[in-house]
Order: sequence, then structure tokens, then C-alpha cells
Amino acid sequence: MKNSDFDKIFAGKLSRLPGEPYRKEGWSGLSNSLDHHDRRRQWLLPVLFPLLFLLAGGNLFWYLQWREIVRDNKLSESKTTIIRSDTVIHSTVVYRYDTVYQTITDVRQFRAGQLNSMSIPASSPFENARSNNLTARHIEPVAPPETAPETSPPALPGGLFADTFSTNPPAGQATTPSGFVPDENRPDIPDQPKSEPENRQKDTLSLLSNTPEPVKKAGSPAFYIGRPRLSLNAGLGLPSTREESSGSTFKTGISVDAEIARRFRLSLGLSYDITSLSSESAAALDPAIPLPDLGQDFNLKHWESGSPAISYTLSLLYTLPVNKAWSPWIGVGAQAATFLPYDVEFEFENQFTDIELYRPGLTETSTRLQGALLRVGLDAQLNRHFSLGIEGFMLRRLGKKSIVTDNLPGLRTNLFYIF
Amino acid sequence: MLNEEELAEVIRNCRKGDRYAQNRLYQAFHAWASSLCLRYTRNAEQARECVQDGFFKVFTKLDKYAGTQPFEAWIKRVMINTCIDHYRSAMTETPTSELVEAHDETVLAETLINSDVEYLLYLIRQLPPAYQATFNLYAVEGYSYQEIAEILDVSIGTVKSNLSKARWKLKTLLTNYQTDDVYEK
Repeated sequence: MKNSDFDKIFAGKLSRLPGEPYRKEGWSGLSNSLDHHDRRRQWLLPVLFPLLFLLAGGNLFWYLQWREIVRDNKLSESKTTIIRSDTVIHSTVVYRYDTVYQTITDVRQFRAGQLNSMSIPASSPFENARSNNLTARHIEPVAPPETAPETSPPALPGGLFADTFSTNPPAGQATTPSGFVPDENRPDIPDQPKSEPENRQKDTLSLLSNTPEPVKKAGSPAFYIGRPRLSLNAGLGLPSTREESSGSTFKTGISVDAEIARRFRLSLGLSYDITSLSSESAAALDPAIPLPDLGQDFNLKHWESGSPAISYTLSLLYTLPVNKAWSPWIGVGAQAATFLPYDVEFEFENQFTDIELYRPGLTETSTRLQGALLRVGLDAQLNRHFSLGIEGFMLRRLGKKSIVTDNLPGLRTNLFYIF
Repeated sequence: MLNEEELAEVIRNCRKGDRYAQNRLYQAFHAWASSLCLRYTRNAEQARECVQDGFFKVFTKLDKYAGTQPFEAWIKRVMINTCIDHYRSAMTETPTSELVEAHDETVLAETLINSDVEYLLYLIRQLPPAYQATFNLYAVEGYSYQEIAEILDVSIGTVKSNLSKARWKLKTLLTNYQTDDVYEK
């Protein structure tokens, strides 16, 4: 028998092999596996997204800090230039003042009544003084020419020169009536500087024009990002609803915060919460959890649940201006949470036969806004990079329907790492 | 079975995660997949396990079905790969060579023609896993040596060798049919 014939006969017979018929149990098992698979995929994204967000935020923060440091370095370089300019201004001012005093040494004598009879010969001491580049302190009187007509002197106020000019010649000198030198004939004083106020004004303008613009001190911006902290925290809360449920919540997580204005911090937190709740009231049940329907004869007697959730917190914190070892702060914010699938144990009782029935329930993954958050705490810095904190928080639902709990007061401790 | 339009719609809904559509697909292909897996496994329980795992892969990886080949061919490949994955380590091992006996061709042909399908399934399950998979893939499914080598991740020479040995073993078992008293159905 040929191999091909052998294969053909074998294959022909085997292809008629009947398979197992469809079984409902088989489909149930497969359906459960698919449900489990879908649930795993559903909560993967809510967990990964905040982590990626934190990572991206951290990188952005690092970039902003780096940019600020580069800017500070540039500012410190410009301060060096200002110091050099100051030195130049100082030396210039000292030199200018030395020249100004030359104008106050010109003193002359004259006699009243001889103003018109004065004449200055070509070889007068004034000419000598000019050629010597000196200022005369005393002028020798020259005899008036005899042919000159006598004119009356100009009227001068009696006391005008009384204090400044003496009518008596100095000792040892001949007194002549022609000792006065009029202003028009006064010898030129070489390179005399201009009057003092005018010079001062000119100097000031010159200095101002040469002085570099002073660098204004940069004012602190109203909003900025600084002093970042990363914290690990753990705490305990006591959830409660109006419908008398009781339980506890354990929280552990991480958060990052940074100063965005003076004494204000913005905080972003991610925590894993496990909430255990039990109640005898169906009204206290999370509205997202379907209540098993066992007919009118059965009443809900008790339910218990342990719900894991990943909560996200955004808060604005204000540090009170207290200069003590422990710095108090208050904060407000909001909290949302991704509730992971969890089991609820229902206990029903038949009102006629007293038969008790237990039914399990399973929730699905859901992400919801939980409510507003009020936070109060104290922080103490242990060293340069670590600080310890304790805080009280109160989570209050915002809508009419409670989400797991109405209120969640609790305490939490924080260990901060300061960058 | 579903017609072409129904199948397209069911596949589309299955991709969306519609449990009802998935149930329809499962119902439509369950018996066929079960028959396939019975040939690649050692017993009915293992076949059942492979069917469940195979359908799980079908539903979770349906996005990868491009539609360029018939859906039956794609789902068959998924089922075969699932079965082979269960016994991959055993299937890639080359069994020790055995004594070669001569077969009585007349007896062989007569026995093969008269054997029922359950007995042939029983014989196939007597083969070492590597021979069983190779013979099924070549003789029953119609894959080429190259395709079988890729599926089992072995060389073409190994495929040919295993196929030859599988045939010889089956022929030996068929020839000795008269001496076998009972077989497990």
C-alpha cells in the first residue's frame, strides 16, 4: 500500500470523527475566564495613567527647575559689571571738584570816586599777570593823565563796597585815586572754568550719561513652582453613611507637591485604599452594586464588602505663618477613585420561613469623583531633605447619592523627601 | 454552522466583546474544534481543555484576524497551536528508533478499510506526541513539510523522519489489530 493511499484512507476516516457537542458548562467557564480577562484590562489603564502622569509631571518640574537655575546664573554674571562701573564714577567726581576753587581768588581794590579816571597802560601789571597765567591780587594804581577831563564818578551806593573793598591802601603802598579797575578792562583770566552751578549741572549730566543703567532687583513672581516634595503616606479612615454602615478604610500611597505661590502648595496624590463596610440596610449600599433579586419573600438581612480602590487627590495647601518647629497647614481639594472589582456578601432571610440565603455579588471597575476633601496637618522638618507630617482629613461626598461612603474622616502620616 | 454574512456579523460583535456573539461562535465551532483537538491529544479530557484554551485565544486575539484567509483556516491554526503548545516539549523530542518490521500489505489494507474511526483515533493516540502531531498535520490537515516544520519548530528533515516513523508505527499497529483485544474508546 502506498503511503499516499494510506494517508488518504486514514484522513478520510478521521475527518468523520464526531466532536463533543456544545455544553453550557463549557461556555460558562469560558465566559468567566473572559470576564476575568476583561476586568484585568479595565483597571490596568486607570493605574498606568496616573503613574505616567506623575512621571511626566516630574520631568516637567525638573525642566522648570533647571531653567530657573540657568536664569539665576545669568543674573549673577551681570552683577559683576555693575561693580566695575561704580569705580569709574568715583574717580571722575574727585578730579572735577579740584578745578572749581580757582574762581574765588580774584580780589581787587578800588577807591570810590575814581572809577572813570582809571586807565591801564600796555605794560601794566595786568598784562604781566596774564602772560604769566596768574591772577593778580593787587593792582598798582596808575597816575591819571593830566589832560583828561574830569568827570563825575558814577553814583554808587554808599555801603556797596564798604565790606568788600577797603578805601585804605595796604601798608607800605602809595595811595592813589586811580586804584580801581573797571570790569570791561579787567585782564582775561586764562581758561577759567565756568560758574560752579553750571559746571556741576554739566558734570552731573555727563556722569548720568556714562553711568550704566542700574539693574533693578527682580521681584518675586506671584506664581512659580519651587520646593518640591515627594511623600509616602499611610493612614486610617472611618467611613460612615447616613444609613448606618460601619467599617474602616486603610490608605497607603504617594504624593507630590510643590510651592506655587508664597505659602501655597499644590499637591497631587495617588493612594491605594481598602475599605471594609458592613450594614443591614440596602440603602447604604453603593448604588453601583446591583442587589440580587430573590423575590418578595426574601429581605436583605446583612451585607459585607471589602473594596479595593485607587484614589487620586488634588489639593491646594496653605502653610500658616508660624515660625516653630512644627508648621501647621490647611488644605482643600477633591478626590476621585477607581474602584477595582470586589465581592459583596449578601445575606437574605425569608420573612415567612426564616430560611437564610447567602448570595455573592461582584462589582465592576469604575472610576468616579468621590467628593471634596478638607485637610489639616502639621509638618516638622527633620533635616535638609526629610520632614515628617501628620494630618487629619475629611472626605465629604458632593452629590446626593453616596459613593461607598457619605463621609470619610481619618488620620494619616506623611514622610516627605524634599528635593 | 453560520453562513458567511452571519459569521461576519458575529465576528464583528465578538471583537466588541459581545458575550452573546461569542456564545454563538462558540456553539457553531465547538464540535468541529473538539474533533480537531481529539486527534492531537491523548484523551477526551485533554481535548476539552485544549478546546477551552483555544476559544479563549480566539476571543482575545480576534483583532489579529485580518480576514485575508477563511475564518475556519484561522481558527483551525489557533486550535492546533493550542494543542501543540500543551505538549510542545514532548512533540519536539525525537523518539528512540524502533525495530523495523515488515508488514503484511494485504492484512494492512483490509484492516484499515474495515477499522472504525474510534479505533483509528485510538491508534493515533498510541503514537509518541511528535509522531502524532506530524502525521495529523501532514496526512489529515494537509500542511506541507515547510509549514509543519514552522509549526513544530523543527527542521524539515525531522518532519520527514517523524512522518515516516509515524506511518510505520501505525501500519504495525494495524497489522497487529487481530492480537489487540480491546482498546479504549
